[in-house]
Amino acid sequence: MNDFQPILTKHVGQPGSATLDYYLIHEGYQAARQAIHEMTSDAVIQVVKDSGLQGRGGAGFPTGVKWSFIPRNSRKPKYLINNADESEPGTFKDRLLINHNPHQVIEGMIIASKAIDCHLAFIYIRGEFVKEARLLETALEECRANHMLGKGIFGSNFDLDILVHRGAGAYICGEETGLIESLEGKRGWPRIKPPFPAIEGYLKSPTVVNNVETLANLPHIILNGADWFRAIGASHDSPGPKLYCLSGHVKKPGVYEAPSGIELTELIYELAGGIKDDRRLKAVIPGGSSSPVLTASEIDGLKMDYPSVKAAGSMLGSAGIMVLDETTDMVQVCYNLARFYAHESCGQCTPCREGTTWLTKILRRFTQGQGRREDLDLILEVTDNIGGLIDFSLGSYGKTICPFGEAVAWPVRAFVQKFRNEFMDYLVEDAVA
Amino acid sequence: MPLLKIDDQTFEVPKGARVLDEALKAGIEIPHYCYHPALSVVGSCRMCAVEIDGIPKLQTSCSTLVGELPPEKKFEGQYDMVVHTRSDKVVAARKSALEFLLLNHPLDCPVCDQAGECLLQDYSFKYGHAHSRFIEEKRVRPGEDLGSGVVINQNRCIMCTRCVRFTREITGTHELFVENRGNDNRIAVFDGHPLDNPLAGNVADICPVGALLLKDYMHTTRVWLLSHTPSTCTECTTGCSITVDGAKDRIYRIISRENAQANGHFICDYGRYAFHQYEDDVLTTPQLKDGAEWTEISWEEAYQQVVDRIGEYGGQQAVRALASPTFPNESNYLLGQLMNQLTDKKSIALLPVKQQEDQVFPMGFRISGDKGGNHRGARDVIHNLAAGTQSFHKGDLGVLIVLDGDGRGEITESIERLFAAAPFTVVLASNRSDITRLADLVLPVAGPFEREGTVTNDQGLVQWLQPAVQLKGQARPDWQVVAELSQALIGEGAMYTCAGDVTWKINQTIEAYSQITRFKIGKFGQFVESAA
Repeated sequence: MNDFQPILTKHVGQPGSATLDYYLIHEGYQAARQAIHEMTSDAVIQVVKDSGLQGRGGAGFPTGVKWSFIPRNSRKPKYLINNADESEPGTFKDRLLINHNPHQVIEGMIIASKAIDCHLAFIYIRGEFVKEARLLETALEECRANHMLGKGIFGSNFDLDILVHRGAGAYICGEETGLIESLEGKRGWPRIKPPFPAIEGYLKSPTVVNNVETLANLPHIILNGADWFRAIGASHDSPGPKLYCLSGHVKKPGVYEAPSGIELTELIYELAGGIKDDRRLKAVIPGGSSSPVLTASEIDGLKMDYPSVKAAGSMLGSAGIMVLDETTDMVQVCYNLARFYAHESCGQCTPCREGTTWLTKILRRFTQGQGRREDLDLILEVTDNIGGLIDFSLGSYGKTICPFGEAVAWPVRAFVQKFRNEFMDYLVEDAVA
Repeated sequence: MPLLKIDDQTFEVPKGARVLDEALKAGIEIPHYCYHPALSVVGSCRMCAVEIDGIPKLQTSCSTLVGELPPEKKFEGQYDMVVHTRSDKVVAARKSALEFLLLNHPLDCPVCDQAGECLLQDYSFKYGHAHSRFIEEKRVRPGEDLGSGVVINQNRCIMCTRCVRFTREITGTHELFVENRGNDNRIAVFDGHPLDNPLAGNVADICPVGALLLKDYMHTTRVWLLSHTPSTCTECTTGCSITVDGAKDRIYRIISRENAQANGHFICDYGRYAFHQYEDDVLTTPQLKDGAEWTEISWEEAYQQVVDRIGEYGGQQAVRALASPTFPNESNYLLGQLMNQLTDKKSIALLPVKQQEDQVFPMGFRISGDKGGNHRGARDVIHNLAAGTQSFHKGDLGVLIVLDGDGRGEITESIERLFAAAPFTVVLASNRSDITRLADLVLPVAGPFEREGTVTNDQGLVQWLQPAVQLKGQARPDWQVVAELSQALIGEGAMYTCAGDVTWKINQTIEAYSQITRFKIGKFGQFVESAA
């Protein structure tokens, strides 16, 4: 760790780092030039496959493999969408990348567009990111003025334009098919899959949706090669630099770039400076609010890469690490979380629309001292009915159209199972006694 | 062809077949709400989830299509897909989906119009929990008038969005949408833009629960008190298949009856509410005009009147007739036969009907502008049909016999002249109308929903009219009155004992109808031979 130099966030904080001039004198757009002029689409896909880059949005799906699902001989236009919705609570890494180095993201989009033969790409950015949307618009304008976007970019015969589309602030529009619906101007209701976006996405055409951070990695992979990327981090299967968002009870909350697979304790105690007021750690939510909470004892030696966190019964997700110290009331956290998901449920399919609100109502009763002993099992059963039985070795058995159902079921379930005693403290009969 | 196994049954199905469709076709019930064969698939209610071998997650059978597997990947060496609809996992998933749907449902079946034909009620009974585990406060929202006679009870809605998709995909009018998010989702219309299209009533038909209701039908009866008569709408030449829900002598509602050959899944609101037009001014006895007064007379007296007047006004050769564009083929056929025997001229023409523009909707549903529902049939079955009534004025014009147009006959200038010139006019009608007012003798016959026989739509589809309610007063079936009239005038007609006898006679004598039999018509009709 000590010899790791930031890659994605190298220029964060440098004056003028968001401008094209700054970016160009720091190797900017060399990778894109190389991909456009010297590489075939297949070559770009191959190097990204070889690099082992996994989608940084949350699911950790191998990026190169995702691209290879795009039908090459389809006569339909292919679309790339940069998912900058960043709606997962506890996550604020994409915002940083856009704010400080928008050109790195745009360059990644050019490379991805080359890979899938896309000539019109979109940046779907959450509505609240007003400043970031303007920054991207400015950066795209700079590119157009310098023939790095538009007709025949970099003097090649490859056309590409990128448009910024602002969302209206719905969590579900970060889910890729909800996002596509929203981009088409419709209500952000996720689609049933199959067909997957790679076959029928935006305007029923082949579409790839990639996360901001995923795309920001691409210039570095092109410039330095797949082997270089594979060598970064603790795990050969889940390599690369990774942005970790630390929030909650830590002394120095913020975004930290570290090699994938860094130990969670190192992130908390060294990079983020330890627990606030040196209190004791109670629990950590490791990958954004939809990942199951881990207790203090479960995080010992936990490596923060996709397979390791999954093996520990949670998920790396968006690497939004929320640190909860001993003063935290887990019932309140759980209620707050359930309330968020009930508010954000799109309401399209039954289990999520009804179940999230039911859970919230039960949990609210707990916080008001009206919990019943049987409610704890009821909560577990309701989460099962929304998110399906959870067995990480077999995958999930979600019962909803999109993963939102799992996103609420898993964490609520984990809170009730792991902190049952705290819920017991809220029971109505105990209050009476 | 892929081999599909559902539970213990095996089917060869076309590639891309929908699992739910295949199951339903085979009589395997998979409960479902949001899926409707005429609408796009959203897979949102989650009721139709099934277990499919090789896929860990339950799959919605409405969105799962059967593909073909390479030989080495086939299940048990032969199946391309193996579906379980009754496994423990499936049963549990249905139970939980129903539990969710009932959380905020008011359970007001005793006062709900849908009770008895409600999928929420039926599925809950079959697949659901007997008790609710929900002790929180239910979500309560006021009902609303959506327009076009449709109201919504928001508390009963299960958000299947069939109605929203209907106004988007079938009518293309987009009035309905889902407002708010998550648990606050509700079906709504935009301010100042109510539900306003001539197919609007269908949203109540396709609503699987008691959320969307027709004001016209609401709280009028209970569905289990109704008899459901499959019949045909004659309000325009589309000839939609309908189910007439009535009891004794009253019709409570008309709903669409699925028929791929005619209307598909839907009907228009003109047809849906048409029965109300025939509720007033019903003719129940033969009536003779006596100066300005109408005198009730017996059927015998009525027929004798016709015989006497024909003798008085120029004899048989002077009789003229107007056939009906809305009455069934049977009475029109008999009238045509009668006229051809009475006279040696073209002595029968069709009562004209006011023509309007066709209304065609995005998915192809068409409301014909020709409101003479049996226009084609009347033309098909009458020999020597005159193109118009101009020739009727040449020579002596005696008695005029008219089959009514059920309020849709148009009194054109030439018709008015004809009625004025005819010394004695007999009108067969079910209700008093502009045409019966011009008559000298009115014979009460079956109304549109009391008639029996065949009608032919503008595509040549012959369908059956099934009487749904009893005849009123002394009214008689239309074919019977024409037959009795024929008996009185020419001594023919007594051999017909039911409408089907006349249908058979048409089959025997009209070339294009040689394939038309009651049996072949069945529930969905039979096309006439394409007239070469």
